[in-house]
Amino acid sequence: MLDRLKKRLKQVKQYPSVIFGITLITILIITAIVAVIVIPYEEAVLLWRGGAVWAESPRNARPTYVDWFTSEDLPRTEIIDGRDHPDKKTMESMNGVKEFEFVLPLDYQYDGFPREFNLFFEAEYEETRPHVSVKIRTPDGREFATDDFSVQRDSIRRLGQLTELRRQVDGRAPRIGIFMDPDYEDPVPLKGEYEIVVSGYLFEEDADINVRAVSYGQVHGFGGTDHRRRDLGVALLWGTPVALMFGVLAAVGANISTFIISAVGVWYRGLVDAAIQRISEVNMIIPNLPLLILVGMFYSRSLWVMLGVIIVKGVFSPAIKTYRAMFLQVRESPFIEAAESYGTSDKRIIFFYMLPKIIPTLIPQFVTVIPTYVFLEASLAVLGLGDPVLPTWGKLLNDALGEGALYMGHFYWVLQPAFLLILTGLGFAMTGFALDRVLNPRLRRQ
Amino acid sequence: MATTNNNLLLQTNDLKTWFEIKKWGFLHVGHVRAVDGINITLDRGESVSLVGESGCGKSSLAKTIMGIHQPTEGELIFEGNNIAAQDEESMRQYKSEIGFVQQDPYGALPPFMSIQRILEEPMIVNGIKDKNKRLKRIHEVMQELKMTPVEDFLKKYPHMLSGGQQQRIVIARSLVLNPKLIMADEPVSMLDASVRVEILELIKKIQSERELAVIYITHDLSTVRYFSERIWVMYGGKIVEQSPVRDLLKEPAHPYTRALLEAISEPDADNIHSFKKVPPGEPPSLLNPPRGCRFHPRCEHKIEGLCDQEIPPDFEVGNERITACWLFKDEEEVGDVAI
Repeated sequence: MLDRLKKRLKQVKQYPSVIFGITLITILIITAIVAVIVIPYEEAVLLWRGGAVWAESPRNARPTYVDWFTSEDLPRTEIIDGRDHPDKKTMESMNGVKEFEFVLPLDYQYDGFPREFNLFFEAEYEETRPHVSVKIRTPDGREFATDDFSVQRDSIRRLGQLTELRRQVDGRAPRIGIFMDPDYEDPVPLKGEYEIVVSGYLFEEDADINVRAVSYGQVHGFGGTDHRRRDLGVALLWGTPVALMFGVLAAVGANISTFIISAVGVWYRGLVDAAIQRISEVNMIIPNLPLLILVGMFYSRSLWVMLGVIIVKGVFSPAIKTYRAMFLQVRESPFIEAAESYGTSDKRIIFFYMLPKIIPTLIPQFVTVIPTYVFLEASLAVLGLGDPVLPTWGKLLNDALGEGALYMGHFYWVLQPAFLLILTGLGFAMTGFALDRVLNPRLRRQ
Repeated sequence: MATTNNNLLLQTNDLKTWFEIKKWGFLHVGHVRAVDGINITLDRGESVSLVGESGCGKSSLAKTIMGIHQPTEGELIFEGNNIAAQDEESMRQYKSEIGFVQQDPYGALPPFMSIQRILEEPMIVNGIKDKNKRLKRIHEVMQELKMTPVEDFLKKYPHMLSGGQQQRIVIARSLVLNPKLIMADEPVSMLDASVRVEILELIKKIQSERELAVIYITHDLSTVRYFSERIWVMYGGKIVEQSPVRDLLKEPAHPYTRALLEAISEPDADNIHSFKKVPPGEPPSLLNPPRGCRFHPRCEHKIEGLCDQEIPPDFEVGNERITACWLFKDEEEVGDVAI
């Protein structure tokens, strides 16, 4: 039987659609494996649910590939850490007070303004906070300086919030005022070497300070970022294993059990069959989505609970009727009669005689049904019933919906997960349809 | 009927297999009396034909004898044991004593199994765990059936074989467990005329070589003559006539048998001008069979007040000839239960 199946599967190669479909599935599977290896589960959850981890990512940045299609060179995120430039740090001690100065170089060659400009301070002190002032020197020698301020152990200074800077650049946002070329009326960024000079005093013997200057880009990562500076790439990447796992497990759990149950019903007939039929008929009129919404609202939104409900609900699915019709025919086959005549047990007849006869029709159906479960999971997430912890494609769509992404022009937020969902559907559907043609010879083309 | 017959393989006493008809799954409507009080005996190595028209209960009788259907009433005695009252394990043992050759060879072979697997299945089911032993048995049987080289066939699937070869595989499957009885349910009716004789010869040869008992079920009287010594004629769930084939063909006793014989077509050009006499009416419904003799509504020798009132007992009308017809009421009546 396996040999025959293998031979049939070899014919699959004749169908270009199946090669395309299998390629897509393979890519998705590889992506899923890579995602799980590169970003382990805990890290993925942290990256998705964290907060501080996103601080150095821009808000609502487009994906990096957008830069490939624009003539301008869109700014990336630049992080200049004081620790990376020990030679640019000077420290002088007098009377227990230490005077320090960082000169952080920023080679700015982009055609756009940074989305934000922030300074991150990490200070070590016992009681007295260090005093700091910041000066930004442009390539053409202009200088913009802030007032003195004191820094806590971990603190962020956002350039946009410093009013004294705003005053110096004619009321513009500092990220634009500082980086624009003064020769032009319209804001055009001035390219060249900028210097961020951070100087100040430490008032304790053991005190130390470090500073990081972050110029936020307009593009970030391969997936862009959302309104909370989250890297959408994490969700795109991690959504793949989640979607595939969900689809395959739901299809396996629901379809194969349905298949076996309908065979059992047909074989034993009578009460067993009647009971299975009535249960599946009752089950058929209970709608899936509202049931899942109820479970999500009142019990748990965990992906596993949802998967469990879908599988339990799917065991007595309407497909039982289709399979039953096929099995009724098989049951009357002479070879079943022959098997009975040499004393084959009921179990053996069901699993070795009835099931194998129908399996060829089941395989394509099984493959085609996988994406419907992937879509179902996404729909649940869009309705706000996604898993609270895991990053998934559906949750991206849900966030995008909530933040009016398309209205705001954040196309990538909606299109990327939608594209991946479509690819999944396409891959499985194309494979399934071609398999159907190979395994069910009546559909085969001449 | 001999009371002590060491050669006796199978005997039934008033065997009945009724199927219950229900309405809405629980309301009793009635019974289909597919097998309705059958008394037959079969010796070892004997070949008997079971003849009757479609729907007369031939296949139900066969399946009851094979243990697929549970008899509703009566005894089915195989080698001295009453099969109807046996547990599952000895039932399986009993089933392995009977080989089954079916009508449609393609349908009888699971299309998803290789020939080797098909032939191994009965042995796996019956607990022969040693694979080499199974293969050895398969080789023996295949050689006996002249299907050589054996290896060429074993890897194939049923659809790759011709109809005749498929039927040989069906026969091989029925033989791998070394049965004592072969139930051949119209084994050649779906084969080409050219292969029919070949398959019949084969069954005949195996029967004589292995001293197998064969029950040959057919509605084609022309092959009966060729094949078996005795004949059972079945009508409406009952055996109406049991007789050696030769005697029956020469001088049929029961009116139904007569009608059956008259319906045989002989390849004779003169037949074009003659019409065949066919008994009027239709075969009886087994759900609601006629009172008295099942054949009386169609019988031209009907005795009013007797045939339509009382079921005819078996009358002995000659040497080893029994018929259930009131026309022979002067002959000696066969005892109800003769052991």
